Amino acid sequence: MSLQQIIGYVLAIVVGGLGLAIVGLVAFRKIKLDDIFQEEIDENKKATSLSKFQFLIFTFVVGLSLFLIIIQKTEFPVIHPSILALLGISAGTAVVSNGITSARRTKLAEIEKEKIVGLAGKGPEALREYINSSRRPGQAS
Amino acid sequence: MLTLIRTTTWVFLVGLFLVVMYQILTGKIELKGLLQNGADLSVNRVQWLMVTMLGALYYFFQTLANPTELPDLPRELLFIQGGSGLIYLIGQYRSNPK
Repeated sequence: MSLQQIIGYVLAIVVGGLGLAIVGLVAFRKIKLDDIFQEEIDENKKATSLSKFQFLIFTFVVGLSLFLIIIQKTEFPVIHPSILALLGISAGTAVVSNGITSARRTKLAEIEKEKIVGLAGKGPEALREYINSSRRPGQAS
Repeated sequence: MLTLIRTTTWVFLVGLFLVVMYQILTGKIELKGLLQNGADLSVNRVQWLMVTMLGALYYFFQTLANPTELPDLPRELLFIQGGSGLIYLIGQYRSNPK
């Protein structure tokens, strides 16, 4: 067995082992993917992000097909610009969607702040009532 | 050695796919509200998801039909994906508070 083959086997075992370890950790929930598609839309609420889900679908599909071809042909295939364009559209939409969600969070925080300033003018009781009603369950008063 | 690489790659890919699908189906990966905007069903999200699935399936079947090279996607598909994404973003922007 040549040195090249030995190095090849070692690399294959190390990289393969790492991949299998990741699958095992995800399967036994040591790596949790529960909130992988969640994004915070305001302080108290999370929503499922369709743009992240869509980005994952295309990444999985393109990555899987790339692996399929590399395994068959053992050489890197030609990647057409249309595939890069598709991934670019997907990633671009995810980025802009994140920006819109971030702008929404900022706007909601501004509205909340104006509400609190308005209530402060009505007296401490009104403010205390509002803070208690908007507190998350389990949060200390 | 090639067999070892092929086997471990397949086990990794198929294993990861199955684990993620299992966690989605059993609710461990949260997808609640994926097609909703607040409490209501969002037409924007439904149309974008449908176009995404259409594109992904087309791509996947093209690859299966000719597994020696990556498919060259038609321009029309890219326009549909882009247009659908734009409609989704406009809908998302319009639902923001002013």
